[in-house]
Amino acid sequence: MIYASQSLGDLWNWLLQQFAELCGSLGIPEVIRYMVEKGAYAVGLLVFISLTALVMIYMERKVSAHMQLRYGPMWTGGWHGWSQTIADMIKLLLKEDIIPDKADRWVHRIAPIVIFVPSLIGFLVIPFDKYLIGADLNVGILLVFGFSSIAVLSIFMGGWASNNKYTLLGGLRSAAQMISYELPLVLSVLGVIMTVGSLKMSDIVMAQKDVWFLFTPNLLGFIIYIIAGTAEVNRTPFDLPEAESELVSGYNTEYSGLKYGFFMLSEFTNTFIISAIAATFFMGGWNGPSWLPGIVSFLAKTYLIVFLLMWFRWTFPRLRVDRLMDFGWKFLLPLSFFNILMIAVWVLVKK
Amino acid sequence: MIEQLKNSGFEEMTLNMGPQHPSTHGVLHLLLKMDGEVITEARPDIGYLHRGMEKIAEKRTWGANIALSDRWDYIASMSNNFAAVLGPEKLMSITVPKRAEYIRVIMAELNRIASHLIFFGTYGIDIGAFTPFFYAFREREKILDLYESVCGARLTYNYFRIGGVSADLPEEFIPGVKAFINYFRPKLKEYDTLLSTNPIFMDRTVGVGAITKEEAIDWALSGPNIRASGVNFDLRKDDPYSVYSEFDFNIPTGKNGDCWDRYMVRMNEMKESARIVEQALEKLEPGDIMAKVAKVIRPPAGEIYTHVEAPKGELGVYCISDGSTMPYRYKVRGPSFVNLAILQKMLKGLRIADVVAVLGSIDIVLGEVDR
Amino acid sequence: MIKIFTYTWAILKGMAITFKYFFIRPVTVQYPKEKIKISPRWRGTLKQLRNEQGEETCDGCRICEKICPVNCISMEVYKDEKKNRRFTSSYTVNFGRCMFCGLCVEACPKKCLVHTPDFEFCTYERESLILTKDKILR
Repeated sequence: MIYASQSLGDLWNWLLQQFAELCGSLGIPEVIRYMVEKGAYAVGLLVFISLTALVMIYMERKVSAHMQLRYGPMWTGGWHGWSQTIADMIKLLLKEDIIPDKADRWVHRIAPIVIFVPSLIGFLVIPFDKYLIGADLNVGILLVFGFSSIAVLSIFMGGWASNNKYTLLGGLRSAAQMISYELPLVLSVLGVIMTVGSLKMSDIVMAQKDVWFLFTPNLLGFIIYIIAGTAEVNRTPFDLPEAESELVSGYNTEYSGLKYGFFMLSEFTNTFIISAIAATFFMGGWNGPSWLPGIVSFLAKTYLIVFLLMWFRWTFPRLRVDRLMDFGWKFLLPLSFFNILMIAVWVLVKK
Repeated sequence: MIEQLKNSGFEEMTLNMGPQHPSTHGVLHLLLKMDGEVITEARPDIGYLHRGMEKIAEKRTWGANIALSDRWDYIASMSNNFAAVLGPEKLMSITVPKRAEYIRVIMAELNRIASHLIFFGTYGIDIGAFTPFFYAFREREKILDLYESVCGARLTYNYFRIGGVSADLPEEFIPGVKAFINYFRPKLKEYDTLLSTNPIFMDRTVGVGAITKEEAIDWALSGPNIRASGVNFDLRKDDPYSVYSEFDFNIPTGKNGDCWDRYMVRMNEMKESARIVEQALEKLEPGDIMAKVAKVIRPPAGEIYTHVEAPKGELGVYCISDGSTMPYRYKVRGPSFVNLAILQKMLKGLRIADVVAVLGSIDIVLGEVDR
Repeated sequence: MIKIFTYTWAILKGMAITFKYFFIRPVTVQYPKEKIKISPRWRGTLKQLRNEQGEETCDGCRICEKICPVNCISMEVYKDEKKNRRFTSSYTVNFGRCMFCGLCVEACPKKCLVHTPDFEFCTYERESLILTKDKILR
């Protein structure tokens, strides 16, 4: 039975059990049952992703507006312009899809898909709640980072195929940047993995039942993670691939309509994934006060990180590309090695 | 080996930056030759906003030319007005009433603050910080409100007249200016924490695009750009026009002449301008705002060069009068135009990200470059 | 090491400022719904005044026409023998050219040409920016 105080994860689990019983009584094969279950989850996830993107774009506008003493959208839809993003999406859908004359047509077309699909896959292994996880793989976190590094390929493809010098520079910059910041990103998470001793997302969440890793020596790892994560999703102060004042709009200068929409969407979904992983690894995931449903506490933590990233964006200037590399390789990478060393000692001492 | 590589298909990239680009401050076209991200040659290409101001001026009366002068450097129109009225006044040897002089100084200095605020905001955007822009514009709006209460316009003021100013200050102006200055001083500290001392900002600007003292003089820079290189050159002190000799103010100078110095000189100049405005308000006494000038202005035949210290630098007007109602020749020395020339020297060897940092730091207005 | 701390401190101070403003009421106005007060000296579109008897005051001295730097004012003048003064038979201002310098208003000897506080005169056609006498004389 379900009752009010139970969370979405329990509800999902209960539904799965009911469905399994039903299938058992009807004699439906295991394979089909599995496919239906995962299919339902995927559909739910897609809805969630599109809603998240809408909410995040709206949030970005409002946060930036209020930090800059503006109101942001106030008219569309009545209450504080809540439907502005929906209107923008419709506008993007209706816009003409322009491919530059000398562009590499196929690569130009594929690039937005290549960036969007991996960011969807990342959502599969994020534990939203107890039981509410697409696939609790034993390589969970590796999958996310593995797929998120495909994004660099897409940005480079988009930048190259547009046959524009600004996009080319943006694409090359992002290739250099994302590859070099991938290292500190993964290394900073390594500290948590070492403390838990597992790559599985659910294990990592369960390990933080009593104390979040944020309040252990992993704090340094958290800071490195946030910095490297900001660079990984190309947000200010590391938004060099789309540096507006220098490169017009960077790799997506020549994109319009729905394709541009995909680039924008994936920027926000990637931000969400980075924040969600931060919440899972350092802030206890869906662990929280018992009266709060797990998903609520998870989303609250995630949006806290999202707000932090937005706060960064609307406060800081942009780094220069060589300084960015210096910072990544000469400061962040040694620091994350030091972090690993520290965590190793800490884990040994604790034992 | 390197020669071989160079011959085998490695080529310089020519990048046309502008005239339609978000951060060339208007319609400046920069022709950049680049080796990767490093610039090997830069050529500013101007003229996209050319309106033939000097020729138009020859067919307009002396009075109407003040209205045209609003359009040179459209974010510091008061200084333009100042430059436009000084010449005919000297030719006709008009003594401007004291009150009008102080009002002029107040207006010009407030305009300097407004212009530097725009520099601060847009420079933040050039470097990548968007938020300071809005803070700067909030302050600037307050100045524009004051201007609106005096002369009825917010951008093209057309306030100065040959022999004085067009309208007396309204009642609410003086308390408004005092309130603004009290409000503005703490805000400057806020800007310092937000941008000036921000490590990322300093990283982008310190040591970038440095101009030595000699170079600055050779390239005839003026205004904050030359002062940042350590040359103490300010027309308000060196050739005091109007009543500037009565005021006590410092001229902030830099040391290295890099982007950060040019930025800081402007930030400090705002403080000094606020001081000048305060002193001028104290000295302001009731009286005439216009000298006795004939309705139709016919300066005696002759030629004259007058210059003022505009926010961007030395704004000079060289005019020849043939005794008629219109100038025979009207030449404007726009500071932005002269300052822009050094860009080609500064940009060599820098990265593309520095282009906007350097371009922003010399603070040009294309309306004045092209005229 | 000290450098890192000073850097972090400077960054945090900057973030504190934006966070402070996050909770301060925005300074912008929702334009078509609320409008800011405009100064009485605002240089908007032009208007001709009538005198107390409701007659037009303008006597067609053509000073505004002459002083206008962009030649946007044009008028035709006739002499009324009965009243022994001149009147304008047509008075047209092309607001497509007007740059709102205010020289005409300043020069008007009868003080009958004034600015209105109106600043919203967008139209769909350029022709409707050319205001004739019936629209200017109010």
